[in-house]
Amino acid sequence: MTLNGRSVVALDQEFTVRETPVPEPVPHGLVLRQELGGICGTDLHKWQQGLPTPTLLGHESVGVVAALGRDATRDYVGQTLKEGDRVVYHPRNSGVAYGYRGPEFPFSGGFADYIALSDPETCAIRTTADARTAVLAEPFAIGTHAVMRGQVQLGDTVIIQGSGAIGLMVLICARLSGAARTIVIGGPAGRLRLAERLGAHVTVDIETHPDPAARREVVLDCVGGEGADVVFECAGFLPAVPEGMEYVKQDGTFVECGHFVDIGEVPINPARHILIPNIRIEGIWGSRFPHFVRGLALLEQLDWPIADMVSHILPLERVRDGFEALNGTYRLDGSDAVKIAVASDPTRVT
Amino acid sequence: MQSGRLIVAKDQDFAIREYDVPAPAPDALVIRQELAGICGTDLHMWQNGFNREIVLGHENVGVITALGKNVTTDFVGNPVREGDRIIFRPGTSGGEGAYGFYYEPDAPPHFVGGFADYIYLGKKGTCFIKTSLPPEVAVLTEPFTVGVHAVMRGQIEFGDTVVVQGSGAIGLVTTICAKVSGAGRIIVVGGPAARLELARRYGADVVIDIEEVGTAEERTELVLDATPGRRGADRVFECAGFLPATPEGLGYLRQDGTFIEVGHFVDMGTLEFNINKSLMVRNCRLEAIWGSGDDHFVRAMPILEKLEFPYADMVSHVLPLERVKEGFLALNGDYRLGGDTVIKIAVGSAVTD
Repeated sequence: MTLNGRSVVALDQEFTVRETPVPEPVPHGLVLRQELGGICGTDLHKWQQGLPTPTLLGHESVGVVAALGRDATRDYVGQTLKEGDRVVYHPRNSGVAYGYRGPEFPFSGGFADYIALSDPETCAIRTTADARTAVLAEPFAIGTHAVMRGQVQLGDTVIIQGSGAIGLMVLICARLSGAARTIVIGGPAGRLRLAERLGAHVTVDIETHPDPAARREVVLDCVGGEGADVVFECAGFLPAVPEGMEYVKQDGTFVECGHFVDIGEVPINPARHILIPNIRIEGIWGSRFPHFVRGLALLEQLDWPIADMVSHILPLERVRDGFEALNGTYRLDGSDAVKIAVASDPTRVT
Repeated sequence: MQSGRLIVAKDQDFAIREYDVPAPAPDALVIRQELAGICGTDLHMWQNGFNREIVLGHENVGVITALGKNVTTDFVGNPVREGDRIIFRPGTSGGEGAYGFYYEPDAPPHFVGGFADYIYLGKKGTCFIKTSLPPEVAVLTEPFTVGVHAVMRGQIEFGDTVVVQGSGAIGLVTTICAKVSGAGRIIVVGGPAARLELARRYGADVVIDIEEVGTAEERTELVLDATPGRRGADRVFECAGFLPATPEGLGYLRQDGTFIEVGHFVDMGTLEFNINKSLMVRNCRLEAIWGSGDDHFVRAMPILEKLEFPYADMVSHVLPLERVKEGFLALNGDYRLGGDTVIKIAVGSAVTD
């Protein structure tokens, strides 16, 4: 097999598309033909700060098997593998995660025509989901991790701060866990409409309720003044942290899954924000293989409009347009951006 | 009718008043106070000054002197009669507030806090339990239940490496509760030396004296040195009630560890908190503990009554009611009283049978 393929190399704030030979799979590894690679908030934050070394970004990816190493007969959960199977994989491995490596690991990122999975500790799983759903498997695993740690229980009232991909994933996972009432605080309006289609009972638009004190009244009014059993901070905006703690009812839980990048400090009053209400705080760092396995099984059987979260599919050479939309107005090609993905060949995405 | 003395606090002063002790209503009981502990919360409130009269004392033990006609058993169903020693939870479940935080001393039944000769237990939903403990151990029940609540929420697992920040009463009872819960190694960070000596007798394997090791960086190194593979502690209990202790203690934790905040019962201000560095990157849990509930009292009693630890040594001083202010001044100053290091100071009524 002598294949050439393109991959996007990011450096500082520049993206370059390079064409290079695709390596043969290592004995236990796989080479995938990329179908979709999602752009994540963490990618955006790294790009905003400027990438100090050449990096093959893209850690939310799906593809079909183009070549198997001679020992790669089964996937992480024991299913058989053959050429043409659709596969998703978790970015973690024994070294630097996929989507964060440099060009010395060719085709290790998801913004490329091919993806080479070469690390011995790779969690790759064959899936029956369509590509637009499967590309959400990685953020869905974070939602899975978050609701497991938050211990959402049947009948709970849940507040979700943030209506980006993580907020919407948490919304879906909270509903699957039995949340009776879900309130999503976020924006813009297109994202909140999607939240409503995904089952949010109430949405609160931060653009129409910009003042935190007034917003607090509106939100607490939705939950009978008492606060929520579980609050998920998925906005990644520092003042959202104390605001969200004030939405937690006595003995409730606050789950932090917004600040994946260090953006500084925010004042917290230990007595008032956490001790007097006797709350638990869970800090969620990404996800691990068990969350990915559990989440994928759920994604494959849901008939909710989850794939609609993929608002835009761009060809590789337009990856920059995706980053700029997420960095600005959340608008791209005339519509609100939720999850933007890049495709090796947008015409082939089902 | 019998009368008794009651300490009334106002601003930063204490006055002794004498009132008649009411006969108990059908669902109430009256006890003769034996001991009442002075708590860090009392101290913090006193430091802020009381803007109205208050009856303090929420860590109490006493002996029943009169029972209302409907009171036949304690919270767990033991029969009770006059002469039985009981402890009780200050908070109540009937919406009538807490003993030891009562603002109207002149209104009957007056005796609604522990700094007094008698205590009138008449609030709805009062949890009182008969005990065989000696009074100098029974007086520690309430702080002990905070330790019970803390280790339950902290979910200590067998063999865990545990750090306790603070060696006051809450730090010491948390040390004992961690030991009883199966902690494999306990590291206590605190002072002064006499408190750390007691911490060792309560199960601390390593003690770090903040007077000798003056910086957070040095203490963190010592704590990490004492954890397996220098990976950090499984559980860290913040019992110091000192704002900078929180970020320092979060730095002691291992990946996936749990931090239990048991220190800030009084509003001491705000902390500049970095939630990414402090909690998320290491995927940690934080549990914030507010006091204790009825169930923590029920669980505490059989453990205390085994008397497996020298609990009474925690009571460093017993003062008569009229010397209560000396106790507050010692806790507010150099932790010395009558030449000894202060740990738990209790006041005792002079009334005997």
